[in-house]
Amino acid sequence: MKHRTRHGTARILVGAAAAAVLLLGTLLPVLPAEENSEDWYYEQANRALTEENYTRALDLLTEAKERYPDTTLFDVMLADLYFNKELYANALEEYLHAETKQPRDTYVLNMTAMCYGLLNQEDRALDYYRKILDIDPHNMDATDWMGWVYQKTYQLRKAEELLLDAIDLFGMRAQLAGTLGSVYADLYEYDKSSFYYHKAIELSLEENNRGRAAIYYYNLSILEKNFYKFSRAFAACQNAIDLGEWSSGKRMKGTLLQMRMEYAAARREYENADLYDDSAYSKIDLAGLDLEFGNLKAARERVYSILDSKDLSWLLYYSSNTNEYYERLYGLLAEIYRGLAEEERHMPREGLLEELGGFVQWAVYSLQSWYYDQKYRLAGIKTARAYLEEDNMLRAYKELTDINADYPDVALGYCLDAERIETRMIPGSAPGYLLERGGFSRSVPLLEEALEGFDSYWQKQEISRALRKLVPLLRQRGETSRARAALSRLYRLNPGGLFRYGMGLPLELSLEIDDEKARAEAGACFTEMLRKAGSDISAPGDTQGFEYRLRLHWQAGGGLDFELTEITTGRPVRRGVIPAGTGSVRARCARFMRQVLFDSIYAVR
Amino acid sequence: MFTRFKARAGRQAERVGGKTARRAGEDGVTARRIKHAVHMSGAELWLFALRNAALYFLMFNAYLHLKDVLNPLFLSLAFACTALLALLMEKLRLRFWAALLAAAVFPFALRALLFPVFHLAGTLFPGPGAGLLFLLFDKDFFPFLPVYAVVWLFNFMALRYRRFVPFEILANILLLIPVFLSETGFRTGLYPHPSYFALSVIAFVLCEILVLPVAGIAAARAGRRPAGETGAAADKQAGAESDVKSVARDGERPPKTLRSLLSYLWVVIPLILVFFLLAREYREESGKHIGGLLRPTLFQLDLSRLISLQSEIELSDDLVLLLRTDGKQAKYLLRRYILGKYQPGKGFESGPRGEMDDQPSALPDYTVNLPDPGYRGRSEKIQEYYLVNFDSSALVAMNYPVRVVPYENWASSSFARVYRVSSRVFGVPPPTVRSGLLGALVSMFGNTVLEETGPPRMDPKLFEYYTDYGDDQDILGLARSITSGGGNYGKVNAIYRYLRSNYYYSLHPGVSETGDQLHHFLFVSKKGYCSYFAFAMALLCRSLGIPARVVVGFYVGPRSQVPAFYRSEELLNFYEVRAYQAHAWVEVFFNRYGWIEFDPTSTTLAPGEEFNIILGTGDEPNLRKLLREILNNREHLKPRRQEPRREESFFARIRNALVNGLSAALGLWYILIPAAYLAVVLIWKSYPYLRYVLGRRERRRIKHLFAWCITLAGGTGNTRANTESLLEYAERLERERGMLLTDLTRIYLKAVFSQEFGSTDARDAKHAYREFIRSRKTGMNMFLRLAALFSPRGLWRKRI
Repeated sequence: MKHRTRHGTARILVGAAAAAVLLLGTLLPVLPAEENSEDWYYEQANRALTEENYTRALDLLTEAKERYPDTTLFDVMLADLYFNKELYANALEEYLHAETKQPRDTYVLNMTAMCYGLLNQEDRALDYYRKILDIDPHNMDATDWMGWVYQKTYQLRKAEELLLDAIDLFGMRAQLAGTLGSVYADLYEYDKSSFYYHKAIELSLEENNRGRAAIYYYNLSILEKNFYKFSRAFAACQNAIDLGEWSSGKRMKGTLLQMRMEYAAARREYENADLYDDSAYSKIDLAGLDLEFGNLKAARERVYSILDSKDLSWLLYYSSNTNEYYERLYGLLAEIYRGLAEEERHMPREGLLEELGGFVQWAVYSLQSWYYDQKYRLAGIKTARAYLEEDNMLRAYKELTDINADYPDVALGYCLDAERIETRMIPGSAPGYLLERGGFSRSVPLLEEALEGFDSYWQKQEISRALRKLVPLLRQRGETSRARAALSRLYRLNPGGLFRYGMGLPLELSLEIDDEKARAEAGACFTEMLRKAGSDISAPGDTQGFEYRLRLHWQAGGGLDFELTEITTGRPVRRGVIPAGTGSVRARCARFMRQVLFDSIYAVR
Repeated sequence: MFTRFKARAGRQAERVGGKTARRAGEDGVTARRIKHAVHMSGAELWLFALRNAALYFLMFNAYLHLKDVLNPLFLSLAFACTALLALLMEKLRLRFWAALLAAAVFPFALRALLFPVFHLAGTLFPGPGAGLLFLLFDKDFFPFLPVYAVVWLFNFMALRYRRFVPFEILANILLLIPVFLSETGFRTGLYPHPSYFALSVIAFVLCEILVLPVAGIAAARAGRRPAGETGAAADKQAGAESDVKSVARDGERPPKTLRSLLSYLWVVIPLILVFFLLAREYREESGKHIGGLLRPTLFQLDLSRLISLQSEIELSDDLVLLLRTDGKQAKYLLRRYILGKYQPGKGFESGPRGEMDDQPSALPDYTVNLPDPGYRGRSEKIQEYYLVNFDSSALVAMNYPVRVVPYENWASSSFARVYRVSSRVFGVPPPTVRSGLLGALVSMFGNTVLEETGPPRMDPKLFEYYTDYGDDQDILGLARSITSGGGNYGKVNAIYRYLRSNYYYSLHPGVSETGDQLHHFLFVSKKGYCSYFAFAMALLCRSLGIPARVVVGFYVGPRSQVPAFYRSEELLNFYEVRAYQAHAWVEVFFNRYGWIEFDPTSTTLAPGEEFNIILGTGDEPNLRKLLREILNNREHLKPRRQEPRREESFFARIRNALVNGLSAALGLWYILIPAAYLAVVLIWKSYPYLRYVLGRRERRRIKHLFAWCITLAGGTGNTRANTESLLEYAERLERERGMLLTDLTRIYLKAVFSQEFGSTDARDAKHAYREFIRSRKTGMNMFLRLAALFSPRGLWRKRI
């Protein structure tokens, strides 16, 4: 899921305050203030800040606070210092301290709310925005932020009401329109959301605020994507990219390319986005891409590196929260380990010892998959409950469908509820629900209907999912030929998306074994290993539905050359040569197979 | 083994219980069985509880690995139900395979039953959350299955086959290994601190120890129950036959539960000793794992006063303390101990007073001004220390500390101690090794300020102390070959450069074939960690008559500055000090400048080695939390006040001396308590023998000799029953244990009751005593004889 972003007004606010303080400092009377007087502390602290001597500044401000406990200035300066150093909890305490002295200072209240927001305590932040608006109902920034936090906490109707009132009061402003656009997007009101996003973009460009305009273009592209208007989504994110080097547009473009199963292009966009991204989302997207295309270990490393970073204050600027963030990461890890376990199960092995090692590894991966799956589900339950509390039934049902995927009866119930709501608002979502329902009820007709409904250009990712669910059902029904065709289609869409589900490309195997010692045993070994790796191998009398031929040529010198070709066109898809190895015929066969399958046939680069 | 035993028990159960069952009639059988199922003797209940407590401990710890996913309440309830299920199955006298099958089917049947209930609940109370029951149940159900298998099997086996109990203990100990596999490497992850971990394991071991005697008692009780009472009880009698032979005999006095239990408690004493030995090993090994210099106390880390050279060390990144200091400096060396005393083969250690005058090792309780030696080239440097995981009484400071201000710690502080130190720090940094023209210039002019002529002006005793190098001629030869004339500074600098340039840093210095690690470093491997370099430089300097000493503490470089890990900006001059920063370096004495630090450790890694510490990984939230805490409380810090001194009276001084001595002795309680116990038992038990040796009247002496023999015989549990006469008891000992006490008993009886008792009888008594001792030696191995001597058994019994 993409998360809408918002501009960093707080940073601008603090930057401006700091600049003002510094400017004031330089314009102060030239005469030195009396030592230890209020002015002296103020001057000295300012000087220390200018010289970036933060320790000294901290000491002076602390001392000044003690000496002049009634003065708010030192509390605020100290709080600003902490805020600038991203020590939000410390900053918060100082702002709270300042608030006790000047409870109606809107700057202090605003910064307090901001600190709460950055510490992901949205409810407290909302309390402070309410306080500010009680004191100063014309505070547009506070109104805008309050609307944003309402939206983050799924209180969409409240946000709508607040922002519409604000627009009445202040007139159409870019940030208000942008936030309102996000609120309507969450309310699935396409026209209104699109209108306000366009308005926000227009006003931002009028103000020559390209950064903000880029963000609204990005948000608009999410809206278009969610309403299945993919070309428009692509155009919007391209507009965002054209406005400057921002990460969000590139991320969205990467997502759309990933939907089209364009691995290299999507990767390029994500990596570009990562260069400018303060958040972890680009990295998460990259991990998701690696997972989709079967680079499981790379995906795993990336997710763990994301989990290592505990600073989540950037989440304030995204329409997401910590729970959803961790849910996403745990979900990815569960999928990754499930894939790794499948890989271990179907890996060609050299002998009993390797089989044993593989079994242990499979068990470990399975346990890890189970563990992260539980964590994912627990986080999902929390998210679903939060949606339910705010009567966001569609999101709640979608979440409940996902986390109950192992209980098809239960999941199907939720899926039907979600479908009933969403398809009314977004007809384009219907094939997706057919796919879900087809999976839960193990219905081939539903899955086939879904496949027909998907956009064959933009929704290749969904088509892959449908094919993966269809294959075992077709096999079960004895329609092996159709199952083979589905697998071949799946392979064309994503060569890396088969093996991690325990599936293999159906192959017509052509063996040429020049090595005399290997001749007797190798044929059977290759066939057995390919079958273990999930591939259907053609046999006399069973040749229907095979679209690919794998030619293996074991040279007299011990090396192996191989070629994968399309049977109908004769076009080579993959080819290569593997140098000779040592060991028993079986051991060499296993090594050859591993290299043929993982370094070539199923590899996506 | 168990099957065969069970068959025997089963047949006996049929023989004994058959009549009862037939008399009750077919309809009453089930009802009776259930009634019996409820019945358990006290000892059986205790046994059941103890065994399950140990098992629960294991399973709970296994669960701790997944604590963020699993629900401990589910574990606890399901555990209790499983144990009760096993108990019920045993009491219903189900055949083993039938019970096993039923137990295998049970959880899945329960799940199959519950799922329709969940569905029904969803129908009766519709709502979006109704479907979550399945998910939440399965989340805990599947992980519980292995636990269920173990708990059921162990309970059923232990209840049915009493002989399984020792095997269960063994199995539990084996299970302990995989459960605590993650706690290897002298680190604990499941518990917040190793001490909790240790206490839990002790509790577990105690449970397991108690299981054995309670099992014996339960067996004895089962044995005394009337044979026709229940089939199950009769079966137990058969099962426990061998275990209770000595106590369940007709007419014999039944053992008193409490006494019997207490008499086994003596086993705990060696266990505690073993634990402390292990704790010591743990400390040493974890010291090795955290850089070879630090040693963890039970609660915190501290540096070691004795540094020896290890063949291999590992590094840990545990946070030790936070340092705050003003100004910028390339590096700081924080001194903890000064190690001046050299012992060849052992290493450097902190010696008697003298060298410690420069810096006290303990943090004072209140502000203290230390003497400023007034050396040249020094300026004041203020440091604030926030001890996190470090001995709170330890003083760490830069060289030379002149004022130490301990602060009152704030409430619920995360820091063990907070204090500020002012030090007179030498301003000119030690030389750095550089090549080329710049290096030549630095070497020519860099630190010539330290150059001085004339011998060190120092107290002769101290001079001798600080120049002791164990008369190692190889070291002297090397020192001479490195240095060539010049003043002391020139020589020191040459040694310093030689070590930095020609040796490699390594965590795996390797093992010396001769056992001399330092020689191995200097002349063979040429690689080592900081202690090797420090030892080498100190000894090389000393061999040339230049006073030098090894210092241990922490190295703090610019990379330790707190924000450097996550931001480029400087932040508030806080430095984090982690375990891997524990360091050893050298201080060399110069007349005008005092003790000056030299850090000869090479910065070049040995070929093929990697430094695997990833700085500050994953600890950022903790660090931020600590910083926040400091910044919140720093402004309220107040120096600790000095308590007004009171003139102490003579008696008060004596009392204080006694209290201090006692508290020092109590510090060694783990030695004192077992030693006191052994002494008391030994004296108490050997008292009759002493009376025999020292006595004059023959009759009395023989009485004491006999009492001594009874003590020895009773120590291993061969106590006399109340209904037994002395002679019957002696005959039983001879019959069952092969101890020849009958003759001595007769002589004793003669000594007590007969009018005639002569020297021949006394001689015979001595002969009989020797026979008894010989027979006892033959029948009991040395361990058992010692156990009999030190066992508390029989301490409270009248001997004769």
